[in-house]
Amino acid sequence: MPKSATDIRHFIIAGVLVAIATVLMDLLLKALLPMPVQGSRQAQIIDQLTSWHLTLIAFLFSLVVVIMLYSLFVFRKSADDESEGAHFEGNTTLEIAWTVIPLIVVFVFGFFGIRALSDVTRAAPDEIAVNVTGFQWSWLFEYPDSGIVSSELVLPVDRPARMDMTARDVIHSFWIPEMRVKQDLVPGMTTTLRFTPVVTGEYSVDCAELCGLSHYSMVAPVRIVEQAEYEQWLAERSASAAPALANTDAGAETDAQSN
Amino acid sequence: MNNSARTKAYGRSAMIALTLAVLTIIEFYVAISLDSAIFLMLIALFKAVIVVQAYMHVSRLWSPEGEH
Amino acid sequence: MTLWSLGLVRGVVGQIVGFAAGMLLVIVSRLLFGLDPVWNEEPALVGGIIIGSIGFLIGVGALTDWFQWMRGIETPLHHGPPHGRPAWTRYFGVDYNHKVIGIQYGVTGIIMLGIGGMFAVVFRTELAASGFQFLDPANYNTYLSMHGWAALVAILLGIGGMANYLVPLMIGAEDMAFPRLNAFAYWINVPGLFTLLMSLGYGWDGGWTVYPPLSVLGPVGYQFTFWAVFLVGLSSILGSLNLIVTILRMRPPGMSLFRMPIFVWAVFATSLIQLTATQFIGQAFLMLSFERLLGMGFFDPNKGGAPILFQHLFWFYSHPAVYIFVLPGLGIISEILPVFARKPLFGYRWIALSSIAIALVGFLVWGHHMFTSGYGEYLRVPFMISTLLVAVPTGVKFFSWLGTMWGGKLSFPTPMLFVLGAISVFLIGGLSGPILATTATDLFLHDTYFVVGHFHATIFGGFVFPFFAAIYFWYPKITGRMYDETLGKIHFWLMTPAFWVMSIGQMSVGVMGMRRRIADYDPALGVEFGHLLVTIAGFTIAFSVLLMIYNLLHSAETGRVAGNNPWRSRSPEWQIPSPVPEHSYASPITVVGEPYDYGIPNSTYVRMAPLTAADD
Repeated sequence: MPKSATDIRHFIIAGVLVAIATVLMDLLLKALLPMPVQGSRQAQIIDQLTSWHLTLIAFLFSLVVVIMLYSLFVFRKSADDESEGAHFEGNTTLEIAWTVIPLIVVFVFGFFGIRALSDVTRAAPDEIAVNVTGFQWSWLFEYPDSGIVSSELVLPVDRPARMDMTARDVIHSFWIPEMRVKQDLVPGMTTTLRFTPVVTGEYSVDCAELCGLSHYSMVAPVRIVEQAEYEQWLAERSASAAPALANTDAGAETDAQSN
Repeated sequence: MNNSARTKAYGRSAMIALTLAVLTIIEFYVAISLDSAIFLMLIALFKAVIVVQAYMHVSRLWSPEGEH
Repeated sequence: MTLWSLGLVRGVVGQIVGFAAGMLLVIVSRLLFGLDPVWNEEPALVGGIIIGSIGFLIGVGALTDWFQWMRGIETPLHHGPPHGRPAWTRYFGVDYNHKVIGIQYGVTGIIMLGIGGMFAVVFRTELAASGFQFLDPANYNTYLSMHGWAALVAILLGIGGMANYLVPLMIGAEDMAFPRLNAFAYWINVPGLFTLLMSLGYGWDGGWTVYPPLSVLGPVGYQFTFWAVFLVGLSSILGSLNLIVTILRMRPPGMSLFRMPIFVWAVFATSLIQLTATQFIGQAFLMLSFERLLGMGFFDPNKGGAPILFQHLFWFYSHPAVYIFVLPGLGIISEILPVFARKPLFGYRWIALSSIAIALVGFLVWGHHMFTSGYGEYLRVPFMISTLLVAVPTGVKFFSWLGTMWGGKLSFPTPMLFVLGAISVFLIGGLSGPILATTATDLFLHDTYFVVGHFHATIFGGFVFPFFAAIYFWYPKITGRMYDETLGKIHFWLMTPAFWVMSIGQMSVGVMGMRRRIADYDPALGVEFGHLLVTIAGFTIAFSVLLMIYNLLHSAETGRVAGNNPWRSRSPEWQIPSPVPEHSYASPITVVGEPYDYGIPNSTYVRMAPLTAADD
């Protein structure tokens, strides 16, 4: 093992180890952090960005940990050595490098972040609008075009949807993990969330803002179905008399559920 | 600062605290009955000036070191 | 020596009497003003909380000197243990010596860490499996909320302990600039934490963030929390004022700002934040209290208010607050590494200025807590960019630490192990930051357990691990004895891998769909195994901390005598006897060299006597 701290061989060995570790860490991170099914167009965009972030994390983690472990082993003091280490106070070139390069990385990831945000929040001309009301501790979905009120959210696959949301009492938050994006529901204002489901199936919308006693169980069923089935559902629901909204107490089910 | 000057200074501080409390109560009633933002700003400004001078002794920033 | 002679006992009695008096005051006022009903629990309790806290401060004696001054009576500063009572009693009352106050802060901090940790252990046990085992949704929410604030109070106290004990010693100062204010700033925490614990009697369910309208509609336990935080915040402001003045005005000859020990820079940057940001949470909580008590509709849309306003006010403090939590610990890492690498701190000036940079940029990022809040869309991108920028000065610190280690002569006693553990854990926390800073990915991760993993790693890496490193490192200086090295190593090797498992476990279940602050979860998420691992890790960490407490207590009696400088550090406090005498420095010191000039033969940092003309 070369003794001098600035011997090029140290940096070569450490560099190779960092490269290997990066690849391994990237695989490990992706195995440890499995994302749910990509249920929406938004999910595809967000997962791609997440993947780049994880690779960056794998690299930075490896860089720091490998160099640290390398130092701990190679530059360990021997048992009875009471002498001091090499006297380096600093290195201005290094300092500038490790300030400027991260700055560049920040702006690169910032750029991709801005683009992804714009992609996932973009409005579409033929959005299906649903009015969502959150209250302690359940959800109500109103389809303004058909006058339907439902306690389950049904949407057609491959069509952009827009949730216009408000809360009745405290702050809640609308989140379907497979769709990825979430948005708070705030009393006294209307907030908006857009997503385009791309996989049919059954999901659930979970409240993602602590809202009191039954926050944990403030969930509602979500069904993403083919266009034809969606239209059939709309027709069926419009046909049956939509009962007036009962004055909902905390935790009480509405009877709009009965079909 | 000798002791009697000190006692007087504390007395002044207490009076100013009382004044601030009274002004706050006035603010409350002005807010409820008059609903005038300008008036409230003026009262708040006045309170701020009192605090900054009488408690934070801001004018000492311009007096030479060691003096009052 | 009687129980009554202990300030703490008199303080508690003062708080009880004051509480009753406060309630009486409210009842009588309601009677006089014709308010109906005369007995209304909430205003009466708030009156009790406020007057009770003042009663505590009067009882413990934190206001006595100032009351004397108002009557024109002189009060010379008393040095040394109290007359006619055992020396240990000084820790239970008002004492003006910064070293005593530092210990008071530190021990109270460790106790609060235990209490906060206990709440976590309780609800982690519940979460290990799905379904309700022994908690119900109401007390689950209360315990998780209490865990939050109890732990944060513990951090503020621990930071106060490190800063108060070490800063005057590191700058060769006799004491802090304002010793009475220092004692007051410690003691105001005690009625604060009693008040916080009292909230358990009533419960509150909003998490530490207590967003309205939930916190306005919820039980009266919230009021206890609002006022407890107000008191603890006041301590923060007064303590930081003291530290800033001390650092700027009480350094010895030759100690320019860039010749201070690096920890002092870290404390300085932290104090700048504490002094200027804390007011916002005090204000926000006062507004919540008044909205509840007086019907003022600050955050009530029915009265023209806005719930999001609270979030802005709250996070404007609470984001800088997390830099308060980590900057001192990062300073501890920078302080201890050179000693065990026997090498200079790499890029001292850059590290010093990076703390200031983090403090300043930290004020510009609060909106990243609110990406999903419903605030104006145009705010998202600026907050994303500003948040990503904080990574740059933080990176400077990491790389500088690597530069300090590289080429050194490294040894690994327990303090160094905890410093290395701190770096590894803070790395995990820090690296999970940018993905949260990026709005698009945060829309997925916000309010999931991924965030819980992120902030526990940053807080443990930035505070808890360095705090433990500091305790082990300065233990010989404080007590004159060495702690047990074997137990210390066991503590480290239990706690650190457990913490890695806990962090990965939390982030993993979060990504799989586990939301924050939920009393129970759907087994179909597939997170049950992850939760079991996290709970086991939590238990392991708790056990390892108990080992540390045992070690510290036992070694005070039986530890090997340490001598002045077991670590061969260059810092001033290691050139004086252990334990440190009442008057730390027998004579004023002079700084004649750089703090971290390891590796230069015969270089001196501090001369233990003033320079005379003959020395030139």
